[in-house]
Amino acid sequence: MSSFRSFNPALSKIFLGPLPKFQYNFKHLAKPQQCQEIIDKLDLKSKYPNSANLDIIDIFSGFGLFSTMVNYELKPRNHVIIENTKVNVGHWKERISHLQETTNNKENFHLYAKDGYKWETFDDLIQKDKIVQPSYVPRDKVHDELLIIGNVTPSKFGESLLAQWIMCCIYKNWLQKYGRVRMLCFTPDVTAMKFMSGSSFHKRNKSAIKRELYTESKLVAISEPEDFTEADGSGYDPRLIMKDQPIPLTSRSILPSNGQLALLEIVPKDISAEKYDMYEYVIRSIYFNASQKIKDSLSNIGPGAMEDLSVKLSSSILEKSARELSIDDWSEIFNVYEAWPFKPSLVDTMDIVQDDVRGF
Amino acid sequence: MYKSFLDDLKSKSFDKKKHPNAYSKSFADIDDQSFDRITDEDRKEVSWSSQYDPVTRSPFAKDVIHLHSLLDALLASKNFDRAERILGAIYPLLSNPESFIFTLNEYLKLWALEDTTTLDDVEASLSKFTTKFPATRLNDRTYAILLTKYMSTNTPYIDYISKFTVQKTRQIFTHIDIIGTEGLMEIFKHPEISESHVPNDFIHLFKQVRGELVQDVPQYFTQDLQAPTIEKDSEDLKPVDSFGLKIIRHTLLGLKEETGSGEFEAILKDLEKDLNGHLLHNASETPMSSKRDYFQLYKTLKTQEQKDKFNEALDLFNEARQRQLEIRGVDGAKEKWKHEFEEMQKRGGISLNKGLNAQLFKWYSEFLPYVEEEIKQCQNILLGTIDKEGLSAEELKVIKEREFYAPYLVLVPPQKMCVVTILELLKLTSTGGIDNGMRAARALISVGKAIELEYRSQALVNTEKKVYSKKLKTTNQWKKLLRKKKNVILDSTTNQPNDWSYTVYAKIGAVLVSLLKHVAKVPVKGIDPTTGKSITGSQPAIHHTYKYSNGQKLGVFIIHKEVVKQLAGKSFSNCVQPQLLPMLVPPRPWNSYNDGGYLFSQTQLVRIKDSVETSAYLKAASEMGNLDEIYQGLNVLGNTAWTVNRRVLDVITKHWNTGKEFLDIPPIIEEPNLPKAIPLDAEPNEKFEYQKKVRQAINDAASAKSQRCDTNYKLEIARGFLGEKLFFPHNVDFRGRAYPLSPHFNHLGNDLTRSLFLFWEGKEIGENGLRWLKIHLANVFGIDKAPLAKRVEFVNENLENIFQSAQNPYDPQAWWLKGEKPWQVLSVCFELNEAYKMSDPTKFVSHIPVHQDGTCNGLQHYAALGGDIEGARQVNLLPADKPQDVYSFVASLVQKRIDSEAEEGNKYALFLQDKITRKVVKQTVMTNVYGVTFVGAAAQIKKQLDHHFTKDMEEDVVDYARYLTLHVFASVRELFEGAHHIQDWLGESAKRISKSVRIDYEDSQVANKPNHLSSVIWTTPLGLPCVQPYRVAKNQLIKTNLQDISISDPFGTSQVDARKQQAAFPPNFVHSLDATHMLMTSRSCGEKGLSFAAVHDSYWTHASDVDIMNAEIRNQFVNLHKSNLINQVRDEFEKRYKDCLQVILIPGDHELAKKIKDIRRNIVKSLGRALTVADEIYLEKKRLQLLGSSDPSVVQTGKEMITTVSITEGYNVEELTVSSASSKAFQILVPLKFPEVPERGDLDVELVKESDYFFS
Repeated sequence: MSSFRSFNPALSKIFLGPLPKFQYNFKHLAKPQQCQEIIDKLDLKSKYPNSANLDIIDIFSGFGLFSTMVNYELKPRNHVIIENTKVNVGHWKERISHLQETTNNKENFHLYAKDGYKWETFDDLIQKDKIVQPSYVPRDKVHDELLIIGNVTPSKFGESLLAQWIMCCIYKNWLQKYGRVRMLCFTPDVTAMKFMSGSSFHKRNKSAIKRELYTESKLVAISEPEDFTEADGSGYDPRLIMKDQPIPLTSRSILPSNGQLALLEIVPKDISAEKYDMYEYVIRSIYFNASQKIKDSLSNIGPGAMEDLSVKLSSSILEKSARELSIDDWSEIFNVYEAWPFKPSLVDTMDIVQDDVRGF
Repeated sequence: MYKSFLDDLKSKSFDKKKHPNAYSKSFADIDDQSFDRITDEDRKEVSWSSQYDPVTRSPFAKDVIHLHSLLDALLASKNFDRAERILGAIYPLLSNPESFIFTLNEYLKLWALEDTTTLDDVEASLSKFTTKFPATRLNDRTYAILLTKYMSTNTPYIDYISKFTVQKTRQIFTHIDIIGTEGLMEIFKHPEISESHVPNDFIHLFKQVRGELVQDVPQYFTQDLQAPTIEKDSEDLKPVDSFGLKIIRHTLLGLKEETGSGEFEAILKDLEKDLNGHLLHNASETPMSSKRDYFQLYKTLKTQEQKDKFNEALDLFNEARQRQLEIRGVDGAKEKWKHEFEEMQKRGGISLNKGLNAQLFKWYSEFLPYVEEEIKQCQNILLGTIDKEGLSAEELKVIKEREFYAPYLVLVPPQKMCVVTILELLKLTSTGGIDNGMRAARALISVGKAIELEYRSQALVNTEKKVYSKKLKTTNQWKKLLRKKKNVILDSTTNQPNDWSYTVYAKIGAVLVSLLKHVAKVPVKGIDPTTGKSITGSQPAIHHTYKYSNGQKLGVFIIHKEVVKQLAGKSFSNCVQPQLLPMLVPPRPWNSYNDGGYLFSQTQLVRIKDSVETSAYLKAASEMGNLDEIYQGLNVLGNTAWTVNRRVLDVITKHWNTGKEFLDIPPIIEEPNLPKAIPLDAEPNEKFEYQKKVRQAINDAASAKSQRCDTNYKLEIARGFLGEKLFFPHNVDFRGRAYPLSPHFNHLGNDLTRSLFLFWEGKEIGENGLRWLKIHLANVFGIDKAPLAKRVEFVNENLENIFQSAQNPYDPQAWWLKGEKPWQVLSVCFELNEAYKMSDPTKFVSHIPVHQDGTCNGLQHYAALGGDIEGARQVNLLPADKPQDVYSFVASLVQKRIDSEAEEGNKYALFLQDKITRKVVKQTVMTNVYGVTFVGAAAQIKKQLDHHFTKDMEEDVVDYARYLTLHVFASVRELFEGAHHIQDWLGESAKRISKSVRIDYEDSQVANKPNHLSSVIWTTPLGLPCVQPYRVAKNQLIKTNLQDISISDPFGTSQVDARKQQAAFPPNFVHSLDATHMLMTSRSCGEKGLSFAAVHDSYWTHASDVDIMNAEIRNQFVNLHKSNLINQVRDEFEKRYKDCLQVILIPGDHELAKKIKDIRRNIVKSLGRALTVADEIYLEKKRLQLLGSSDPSVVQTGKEMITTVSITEGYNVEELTVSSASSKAFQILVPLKFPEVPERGDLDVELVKESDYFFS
């Protein structure tokens, strides 16, 4: 086991022991070999050459094998583990005190036992408790001194949290205010299938469009299909599988075994957030009828939109459905909408529905 | 024998066979062979909640109603061939084929009476039908149709009549809607007809025809009159923008500006003579001008004789106006739009800011041709002239869709449909939580329903023409006479329900709305972002889009902002639903469960959405004549005449016009007050908070807007009815609580609305009345907890303030503003001020309704049920010197408990010890009756405690609140011990019923999950069957050309919602009692000649009659609680749910469980397959059948038969019950039994009669 380059021998005792019983809906990588393959594929060393200034913020790292291997590979100056499930907090405490004894924690692990789901946690981490002080890096290049690792595999909140992190890429807030910070995110496989879909793929949803608009993302690794008669990568947009060549993970390498997950590498694009609200509204309106042709679904945008906008859009777009639109098509729609004298006001674009108890 | 049952079971299939359904088919897909293969077994009616109730349901009810609606529609458009095919499809679906004659008569009535149909045709058809539909038995209605045919073809009819017995002849003659008044008059002339042939109702007519009747009633009207328009003097009101007002008044007062109607003027002149020329002069500045306020006129009349004369004349005059109001209101709206449109065109151009009416007319004119074209297409389909050859799939789809709604769409003239569609959409704007819009599903259904309503009104008017002959000189007496009878016009149409289905509503709504959407445009201005130049354009006025609500996509229509501004800004509403305004004449008295209320629209006695079961029970009760007392109570409420309080309306209008917030008048808010924008890169939390604030701001603005709309709607109607005599038809909810039918403007509203109501009749106040008027003032001012004498004293001390309030109501410091219900305070101030201007104030004639309210009325009924003496005292059931306050008393009990725990050092008690107040416990005590849950109560109490804690102590407050809630519950329980045992009993009984299993019901449910199909049903002491309508809804998806809509299917037979059934029963039961008490009181007050009104537990009458009403309130309460109501409910339950089984869980290792397992094992062995719950029920059913046999040997076999249920006899299973959480829980079936009725306490209810504060 210790034969893997990125595996920290000081922890071999811990990761060779019996696997924990409960994962609280999280799924984790359990085999060093696969973690190594991923780290190699990510080519992290070349992306973070200056380990002396590198901070890693690691959210819900749980079992933690992958985290410790990235740590051993990159040797950051700070590696903050944000974790608040009781059992995992216990594990990490043990681990860090073990490292304290063996290596004097030169790995620079800090356990921050707060809820990674809450935004306050990050304000407290940096402003109040000052555990790390990430550097600001201009947005013309990708941040090379801060890395986010996040495990959002629980089906209950994973997908929506990932969607919010992607929003932070465009808003330039949260940890993305320090620059274009790379995120390595473990997600449920179904989330990855949707979010990573390209145009025309039937799982292409609103988040996939935003992901494509605001980030450069790659599918790094995927779990084997539950149904072993299916080919690896089934359920994903085939063009994506061809392009990204994700590492297939055996079911035994995932904890709990047979758990389904995917790993995404997400890098924000260098673009302005100014028009985001408009994009959001247009995408949402058109997606009310995702399979309808644009010439019909345009009407959802506002009174008269169908009549006024359709004459300005290229006919190929009008015949497509929302799912079939490419990013360029979307841009064309945004531009036409932007120039529309009768576009709805902000107030009119909000979805407000009060409770209603009346019948017909 | 047992073996043979098992063999049955082996071969038995519980799967139902599938039948073709009719309800989803269009007329084109139905012919007379469609349902020929249905067997008697398939048609068998099944019971709803109990096989012991005479209330059953046909398995094809949904199909039959749909077919009836199609038949009705096809007949109305004279498509007799098509209609005949539908007849053939209906027959095999009827569980009771004898009832087919009603359907056949509907057909005959229209077809046979066509001029082109000969007598021979009719006779030939009849013989054809009786062969084809063998169960058909002709009845007197059929004979009436034939008789009419004889007459219309000039065939000597007297021989035909003479075939029947005298009694039969009398029955035939009752069908006046077929024979017609003129026909009857002709028959009555015939010498062979004698008085014995004539139905009682028509003796009057008979005598008149024979010249035997001496007319001594003055005849005011000799012919149907056009209602004259009478403008009311409302200039001084300065309504914000009067077009809304005008339109209502216009709707109200008829269509054409006709000056003077001779007859009514004649009456007034007549009265004028009596009064030596003062009447009209007094009533109006300019005598005989068009401005007239009937109430002012009426008030000037001195003698009872004059008043009676005036009332009679006004009622007759109003009868005609009411008719106009109900059936021509729609035209009125259109005429108004047109008028304004033409005016604006004259002045050149139409601007939306100035005239919504003109805009609406433009829409209307552009909309109409499309609708006409659509109707033409529908007619072509009905005529079968469409050639489908060579049409594309898309075109065929359109035709298929059209086939479904075509028979219905052709029924209403296109002009009316256009107006109705526009009015409905405007009316729905900003309802249902959609800012500037509405839920699409609701809009489509509403439009569909409004079209149906329009069609039905028209149909009634047509029938009416036949019944009200113009040749008859005494038309109005005749009308009056008929109106008091069971409604002859409605009667003929209600034998078979023929409501349009939701699918029809939705599809018609969708066709009309999409056409309107296509044409309705509004002019808009915008700035071109590239050039910066201002440009104009037009946008659709109705926009279809979606919104997300709780993660669900919701289709909505958004009405263009510019239109909404017109509707909700300064000016208002053109969208009055004429059918649902207050009435100008007393409502038609309730005669049957679906006959009463408005003149030309049919209303059900019980207002309930989509509960076919409730309707079935109601119909059964109605047919058994059990509801008469309910009708009487409601008729008293309906007969109370009201008028609008002009002086209060003046004050309200003045404040309204400022557009500012004042008391409960909401302010004008045009744009939401949005929070300051935050930077784009604000932190996620800030963004979240910001979004929340924005939403809040938009929500606030939207709700202020809709409140203002709502208030405006009320005020507009009030203005329209100024000076009028008005009435409210009432119906009840499923528990029997009464509500006025007109939804927008009625006396149930808030303080502002209530202050607008006066009784039409005035009554001299007298000594006691003056006292009660003062007490009423104190009550509405907020001094309602003091002894009566103190309340009077309070008013006496404030007389000067009261006079000042009346004289200077606009003074910002005026005393009335300080009252708890200021508008009602003001209205009393006006009266008292008037009274004290008189030398003897007791001679003052008062019109204000004085309220008497029950103290915690639910608890009053509980205390009476439980017989709790102390509880009864605290809710004023017992005589006392001053009113008791149950909330303070409970607070004191809680205090005692907390104090003693504080002594023991309990940290919660120590903290809360000094924080127990009346207010803290009030809501929880109040809602306790209505079954508030512990969690709900803890949330109420938390709200009261919140201010003692800082923000970060959130979790602590919850703990403290829970702790305190325990003690509040315990204290209420202590005070109302007996009542709580009753409450528990009600809850437990409901639980058992809703968890029971019927043995008469088999279906395909093979899993080990039993079906729970029985609702909790009870009968109120007045005979109203209350059916809890809580079942698990089954949804149906309806496709329309705009969007798919999903709505619950009223016919989807489904399991009961056990949780709701249980939780709701105790409060519903108590509500059914308070409703009963109200209706009993209403009835007896009516008998005593009082004007009476009620808002649930608040009863109103004239000040001078309060003493009489108070005595009745108490007498009726005693009458109600004299008998043991709970025992009665138990007896009713035992009858209704006899033979039901109950599912319970017992420990799997108990001896009984083992026995049952053995029996099951044996059955499985012989069955050779797994045993289901259905099997067990089947065997038990067979056993009970054997036991019920008249053959002793069969009974013996039954006694020897052992089933999984019979084995439980002799065990006290209640003691064995375990929870489902128990790992060893074992499910068994036992006979349903109800718990023992708890002992009642020693309270003597009679003492209520002595209690001053019971209602005060």
